Amino acid sequence: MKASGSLTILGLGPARKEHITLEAVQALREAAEHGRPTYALAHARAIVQDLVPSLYPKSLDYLYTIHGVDRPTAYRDLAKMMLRKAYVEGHNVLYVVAGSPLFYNDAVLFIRKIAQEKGHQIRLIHGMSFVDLVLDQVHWTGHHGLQLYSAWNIAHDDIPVRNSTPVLLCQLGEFSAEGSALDTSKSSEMLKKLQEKLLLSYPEEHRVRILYSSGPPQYHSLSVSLSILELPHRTVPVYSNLWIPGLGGVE
Amino acid sequence: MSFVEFYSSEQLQSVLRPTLSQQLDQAIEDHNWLLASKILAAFIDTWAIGGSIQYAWQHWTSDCDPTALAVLSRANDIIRIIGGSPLRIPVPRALPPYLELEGHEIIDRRAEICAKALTGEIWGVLLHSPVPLLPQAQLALGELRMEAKAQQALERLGLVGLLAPSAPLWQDCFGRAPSGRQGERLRLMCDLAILPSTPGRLAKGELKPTAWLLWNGPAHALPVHRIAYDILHNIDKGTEHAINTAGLSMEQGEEVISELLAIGALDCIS
Repeated sequence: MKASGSLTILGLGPARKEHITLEAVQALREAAEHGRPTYALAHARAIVQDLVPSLYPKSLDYLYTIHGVDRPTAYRDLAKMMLRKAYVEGHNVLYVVAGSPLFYNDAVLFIRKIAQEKGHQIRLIHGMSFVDLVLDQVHWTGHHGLQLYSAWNIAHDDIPVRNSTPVLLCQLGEFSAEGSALDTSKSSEMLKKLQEKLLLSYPEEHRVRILYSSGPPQYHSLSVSLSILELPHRTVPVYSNLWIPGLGGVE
Repeated sequence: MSFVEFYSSEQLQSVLRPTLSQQLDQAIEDHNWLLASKILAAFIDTWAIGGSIQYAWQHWTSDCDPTALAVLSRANDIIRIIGGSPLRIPVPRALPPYLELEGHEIIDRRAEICAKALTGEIWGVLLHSPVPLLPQAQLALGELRMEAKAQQALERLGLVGLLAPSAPLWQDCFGRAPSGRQGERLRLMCDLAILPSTPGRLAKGELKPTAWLLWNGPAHALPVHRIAYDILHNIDKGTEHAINTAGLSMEQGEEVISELLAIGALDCIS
């Protein structure tokens, strides 16, 4: 088998089966039918197994457990590995991700950049982004703009936020070695660090909203309102988000 | 000596358990907690192994049963712990294809071996030396384990692992013992022992005498409360006597007995 393969990146949407596109379901069924090499991380694998039980995605979870390998290195390696299997070895590879492949997925970004450099066509199957889901808990239409960052950007990368425009910070938690999306163990640290940074731009009584999911099986979007002062006293699952209205009530 | 002979009732009583017990005392005296924990776990496991070794031997040699291989492999671990030479696990049928490499070679040959693993051309790679801790080596090993059908079994169990890619970890081999039936007269379905601790606690240097239920068969041992131990210890003298000796009311005692039936520590005498 040489150089006639393909790489499909498939977004599953936020979690509920009902949010997955027909195109994605069809691609998963075809992958099962033709025995295509399929790869995914833990949370995405569980969704795939639920949807197409005859498809067994291989586990990429080991990438989170290698001592001395940071996330960017792991994601670059994953990207090169997927491209090698498709375009050097000639397999029709399916790489399944949670949510939308285009939001906060560094491995997908690496794949797309390398593929572009090397002239490989990849197929993207879009999935609903978490942004669509969580915004139903706030009243925002886009007229005042939106700052969209990962919580890490604000907490650790010193990216400043403008307090006049609403901010949506995603992934308040942090994956531990097991890669569980429901893990809450590392969120307190993140929320404490976030508080420090937000207090540079907002008063401590400024009301913010944690947007999160009820989890399986319904995955209802939920929210809780609290002041910036109260943030470090919370623990939240990895995929929780923080909505910060602009000063003066600008949503 | 064969596995079945090594783990025969007589050998267990007169050689293996006394040796482990002696080693355990020494490790505790030396405050070598990790070793003590390992020996205690081995001591406890001799019950499940002793009670299933014959079945494991038969089912490995006749149909390469994955659980049977895990039992034989754990049996060899324990032989190593007491300083013996591991027994040969037979290879009942032809091995699937595999490669042999030095650990460091995995970096340069990653693409080639993982490609072969993905297509099933090889089922695993026998590594003759440790894989370096370098990121590129560990990433290559991660991919190999993901792609090669029997790599993880091969690493854990040796070449015979190629014949049983789904061999469970020892701790996943057995479930609970079957539940017992309620009746007027009850009998003990397992052995009882007070051991210095649990392996987990002992690894942290915590010595706390713990009551254990040890089944001579395919069921994992269980630590229990001392009251449960007291009831079981006296159950052959009648339920009422056992409950009274444990210092419980009849109502409390019957609840404990009901739990002990559920976990298979007791059964009725029919």
